[in-house]
Amino acid sequence: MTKQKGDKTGSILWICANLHQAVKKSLPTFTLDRGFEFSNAAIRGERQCLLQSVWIASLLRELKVDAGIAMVWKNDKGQVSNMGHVCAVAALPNGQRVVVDCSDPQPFIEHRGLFMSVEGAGYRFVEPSYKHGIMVSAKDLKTDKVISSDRLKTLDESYVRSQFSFYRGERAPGGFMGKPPTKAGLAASEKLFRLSMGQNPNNPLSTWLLSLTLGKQGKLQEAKVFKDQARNLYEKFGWIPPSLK
Amino acid sequence: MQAKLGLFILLVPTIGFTKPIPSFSSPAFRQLVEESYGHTGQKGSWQSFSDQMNKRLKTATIRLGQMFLQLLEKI
Repeated sequence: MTKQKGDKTGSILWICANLHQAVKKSLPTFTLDRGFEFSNAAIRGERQCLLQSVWIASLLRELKVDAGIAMVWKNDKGQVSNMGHVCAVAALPNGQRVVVDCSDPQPFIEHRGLFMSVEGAGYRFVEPSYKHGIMVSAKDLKTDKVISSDRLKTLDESYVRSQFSFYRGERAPGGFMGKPPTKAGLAASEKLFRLSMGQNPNNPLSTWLLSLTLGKQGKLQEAKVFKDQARNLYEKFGWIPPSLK
Repeated sequence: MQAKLGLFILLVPTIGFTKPIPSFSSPAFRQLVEESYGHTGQKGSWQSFSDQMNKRLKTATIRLGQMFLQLLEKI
């Protein structure tokens, strides 16, 4: 990457690329089971997608670069998931955006589906368009309108906090992901998904997994209530995952 | 060069994460970290987190200091 004095966009891209490597090297162990805990990052050098994205965004903010995180629902290869990944997004001086992903060997990646905020509209599922790795616009799936990238905002504090609780619930020992799940584990998952929803009632993923956890516990009536609630949230934000259709 | 060295010395405590990182406003980030220690039950605090992460970054990227020096020139 070439840099010229006074080229702020080039400088920010250069900072992002260097921090991408620094974060990967400083937290060498990727683990889905424990990598979302900052305590494990510090003590064991562990990371996963949410933590590494929050961490790199926090470092960028330390350097006065506007940055945050977005959920990924369609990756760069077009594979769709129910927000199964998280990335960092940094703002460039001209309002364009760049996606920084420490799960990829390259610093910049063109994820094709993100969950972010749209200025004046709130949370939205969007399909970004890129030019040479830089996000220039995105289609708001709720309205089908193409919006300029400067209207895309990263997820807010309450969403970030609720997403940490979500991963704790998802990965609770013997819980939602437990093989096999245990009664105590599922109860722990339920509690953490409810905590996540308390921190941000508009987190569709927490709502959906609470429904699935309640289902595993045999609480079918309540599971149906939260399934409907989750579906409504996804619909409100512009995209419904195949598993909820 | 002397000026650069001075800047580096000034930068170490600033960029060295000895203060809360103003990501999502500093109290919020600090809260995320403290909640993590609370949830895992591991011994630690914001201060120990800052120290350990700072050490990790410095160990992993020796040229980090140089990087921030260059950064100042570019931004």
